[in-house]
Amino acid sequence: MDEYPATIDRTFAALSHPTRRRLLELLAQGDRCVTELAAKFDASLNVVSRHIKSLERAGLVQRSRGGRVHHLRFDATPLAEASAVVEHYRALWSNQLDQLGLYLDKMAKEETKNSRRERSRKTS
Amino acid sequence: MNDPEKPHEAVLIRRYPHPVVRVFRAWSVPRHIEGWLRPSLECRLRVEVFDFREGGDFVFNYEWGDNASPVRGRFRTIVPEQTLVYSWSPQPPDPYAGRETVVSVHFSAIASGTEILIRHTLFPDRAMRDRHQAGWASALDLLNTLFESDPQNFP
Repeated sequence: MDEYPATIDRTFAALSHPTRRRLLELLAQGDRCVTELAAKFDASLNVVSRHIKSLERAGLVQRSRGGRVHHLRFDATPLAEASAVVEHYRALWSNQLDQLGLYLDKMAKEETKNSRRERSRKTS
Repeated sequence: MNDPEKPHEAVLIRRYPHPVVRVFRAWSVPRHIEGWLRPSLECRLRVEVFDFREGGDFVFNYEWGDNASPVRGRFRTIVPEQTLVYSWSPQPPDPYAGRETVVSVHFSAIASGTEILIRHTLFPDRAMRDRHQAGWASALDLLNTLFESDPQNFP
């Protein structure tokens, strides 16, 4: 499970470059092969390839080979995992803050009881 | 304090009809913390270490059934009845173990009692946060695009 945070780091490092974000947007519309994708960019095939490799390492792109043609597919699993961590903490806090509300009511009751006891001790 | 929620943070605001002094006490006295700071009623919390000063450490042990899961942390800022900032590092076997996160809590007195603002930051390291900033925004956009275009294939 220690792998988990490292995966999130890789996901966001991969998304930090505009070319890679554009690549994912294109792949989100449908699977493409490498040369098709490269044609959409001013950069050389070599440069685009390097960005694709970085997306593959982050698990955001899956590659399948049909002969000499490499097909690329967008895999959103790492993105969903990353936003799930934030959601996990939000849900956790929401429960805890509900319980804090109940606990504060209990504290208030105890404080009133104690101060009443104090007062009756003073008057008697 | 007023900056909007960032995608790598969980931000929550709550109001309680109780004075700040009581709310802060619930957050800073181990006996009280054990009474509420847990994910569910079935889960028990034992505060094992609680060195309540800036730079001081704490260890919380969460127990449910035969399972136990500790959380370690360190107090970074303590301004009584105003601000608490501490690190929060779940330990194995917690599925979110292995990363230091930071919790900051702001307490403000309002007419009806107390308002608290909690910010739980998942990437507290500034350099890493800046690197991730652009990524987060587009990650959420991409998720939306993908979900709208192909809900069946959504992981």
